Amino acid sequence: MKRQTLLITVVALALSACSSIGAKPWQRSALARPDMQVDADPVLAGLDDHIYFSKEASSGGRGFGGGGCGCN
Amino acid sequence: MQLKNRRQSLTAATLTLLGTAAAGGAQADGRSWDIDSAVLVYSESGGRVQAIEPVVKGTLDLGGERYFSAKLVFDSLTGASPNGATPASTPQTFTGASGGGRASVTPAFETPLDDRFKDTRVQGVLDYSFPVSANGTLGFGGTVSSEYDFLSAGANLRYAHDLFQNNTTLSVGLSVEADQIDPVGGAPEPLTRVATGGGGGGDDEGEGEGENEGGGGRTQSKTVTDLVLGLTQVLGPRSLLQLNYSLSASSGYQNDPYKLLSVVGSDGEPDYYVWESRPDSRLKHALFARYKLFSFNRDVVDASYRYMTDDWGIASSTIDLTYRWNFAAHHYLEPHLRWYTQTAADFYRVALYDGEDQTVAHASADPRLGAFDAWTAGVKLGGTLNSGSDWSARLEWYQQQSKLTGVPAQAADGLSKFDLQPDLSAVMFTVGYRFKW
Amino acid sequence: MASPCEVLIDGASSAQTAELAHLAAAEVWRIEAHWSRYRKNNIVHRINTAGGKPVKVDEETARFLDYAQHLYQFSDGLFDVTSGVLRRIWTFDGSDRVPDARQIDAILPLVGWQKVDWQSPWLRMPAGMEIDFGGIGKEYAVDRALGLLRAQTPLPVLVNCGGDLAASGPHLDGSDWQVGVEIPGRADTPLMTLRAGGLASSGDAHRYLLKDGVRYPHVLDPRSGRAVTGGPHTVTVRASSCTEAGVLSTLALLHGPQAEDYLRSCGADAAVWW
Repeated sequence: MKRQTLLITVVALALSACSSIGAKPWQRSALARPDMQVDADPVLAGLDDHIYFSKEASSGGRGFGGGGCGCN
Repeated sequence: MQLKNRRQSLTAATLTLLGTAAAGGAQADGRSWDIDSAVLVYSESGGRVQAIEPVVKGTLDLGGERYFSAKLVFDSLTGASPNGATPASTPQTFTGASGGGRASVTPAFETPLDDRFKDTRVQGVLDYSFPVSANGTLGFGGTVSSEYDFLSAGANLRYAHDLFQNNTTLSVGLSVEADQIDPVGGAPEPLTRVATGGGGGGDDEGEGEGENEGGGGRTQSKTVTDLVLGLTQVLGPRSLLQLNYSLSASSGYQNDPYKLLSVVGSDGEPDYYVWESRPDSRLKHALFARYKLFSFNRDVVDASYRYMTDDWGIASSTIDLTYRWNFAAHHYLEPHLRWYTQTAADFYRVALYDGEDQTVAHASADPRLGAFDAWTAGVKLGGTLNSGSDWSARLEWYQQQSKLTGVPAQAADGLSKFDLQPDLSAVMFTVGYRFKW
Repeated sequence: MASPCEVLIDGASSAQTAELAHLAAAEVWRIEAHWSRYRKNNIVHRINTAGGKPVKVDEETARFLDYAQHLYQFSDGLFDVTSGVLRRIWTFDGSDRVPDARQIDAILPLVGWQKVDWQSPWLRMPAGMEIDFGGIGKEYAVDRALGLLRAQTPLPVLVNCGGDLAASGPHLDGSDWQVGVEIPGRADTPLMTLRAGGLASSGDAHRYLLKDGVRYPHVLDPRSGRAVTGGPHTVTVRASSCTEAGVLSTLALLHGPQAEDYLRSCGADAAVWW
């Protein structure tokens, strides 16, 4: 676990160090679109998580993995 | 709609400039609930599980980037799911709900199902997020979920920090959940014999019941702790990358109190049945990556991958792709493809060989712990109405293809005449509606 | 901002009117002094002469720069506070001296808000670039002055600086303010009404170049460095504030022949004179 945590920190620094990456505040019109948000439809995603949680052995990843149901 | 929004953003920005935004009446009448609602209908083929799940979520913008939300989920399930036993050449009889219910007879060569599967779940979620600094946002939430034999309460705390002109967001989240399981007829003692109404194996009825008496009956519990570390990086004016690492530790009662295993002879026919037994803890790690791209100045590509592994020996990969085709100003069509594969848990067994129940520490025939691939294919159609409300309708097909593992070698020949892991297929239909209230 | 300003107060004594007019005038002068590009010791001068070094700006200027950034995004780059340097090659003196492509290409590297690094309260701009708040400074001053007066009196007030105006509410008898819009080259003065909020006009006035029969008005697209031809003479917009009205009328003019389509798409309450 510690190793993976470190990896993520390093990736963050590596990405930010590169000045060509990212968007300036005035270049954000596409990124500000509702359909470009990482969680564009949270209610639908929640329903999907619940279905797959009760039919498969994996959960979480996108967010917390807890199911809050006795379905698994 | 979008131009109207732009005009509103100009008005709001002007108010901010003039320093009247806080004092003006514009904000007071602007405070309204954003309601996000959906209904999912889930239907498995072959008369198995049918579910209908309505959700309603309201978010209140309190101003100053402070958001309060409340969500209510109902979940109504009916139908049958495999109880873990293998088919037999003669009819098998099981008493539903750990001996408390009526007996059901499974015809020869069919997968025994537990048709007691009828439940209603209600879940409530409250959440609040607010800025704690120019770049930091804190959020916390609580959730309670209740069904007939299960009660769950959880709380979570999240912090997100924006860096480099909001091009990088680092986040950390911690969630704790406590579950209480109250199985109908009590929690059975793992790997003890199941009381049957006279099964195909011809084992003595009294013996089974006697062994079960000494079992649970107690309320069982487990706690699940989740940690999620996240990074969202804007790659350019049109693309972004999200990376999450999550750790989930579950300790306590992990069994499905209604799942059992057949104990078979070399002929593959069941002699008796035992209750499943899983370890009392589980540690999962997952890595999740999502890429989003605004393409052709119109559409949105969303591609994600998840790798998960746990100390039960399960490893899984999930690839999820959607393409949102914004074919008209206010309408879109979104095809979706998902591929999933998992390996089996170390203790997954299709059945146990005669006497093996005395020697193994853990065993489960729950198909969800076996190896399989799964495909989801679907399409979503959505749009925005003149009122500014958003609607969507999605139809999807889900298909699991199992890969046979965990067959006891001594009974492999005998079991080979049965369909040991029937594939699961389901249709899902979801409608969503978002509006201001 | 060299326009005469007037303050009208419905139902006030002349002494009260004079007192409030002084208050309004002081606010307009303060803003003028703060942001005039003709003064030597203000923040705009410091920014424009920083030579590529970062400048820390005051809170009010920071709000204005945030707003400028918003307008840049809102208008897809059409509204740009760095466009003032185009004046170096465009002199609207009624002559035919339209700059050629070489002159325009030489100056364009100095135009473009996207080249500015703005992280409140720090602003860093490449050397040679300039900012100019003239495009919205007057309308802002009108709104600020009205805000001050509104805090002093519940009576209906109207502040007017050279045709850009804002009113706190209708006359005491409930009737609207009548506003005459001066259209250059027209003898009559069309009347518009204003109940509360702002009204602003943008026009090419008498400032233009004329070459080969084409009229190049004093309306410059900061993205191309060229004058926008074929548009209306004057656009008048009514909005919730004078500043917002000024932004919309300016942007409409910058849309040239599509001015009316643009106003309609924004849902703007406007009058257009060709």
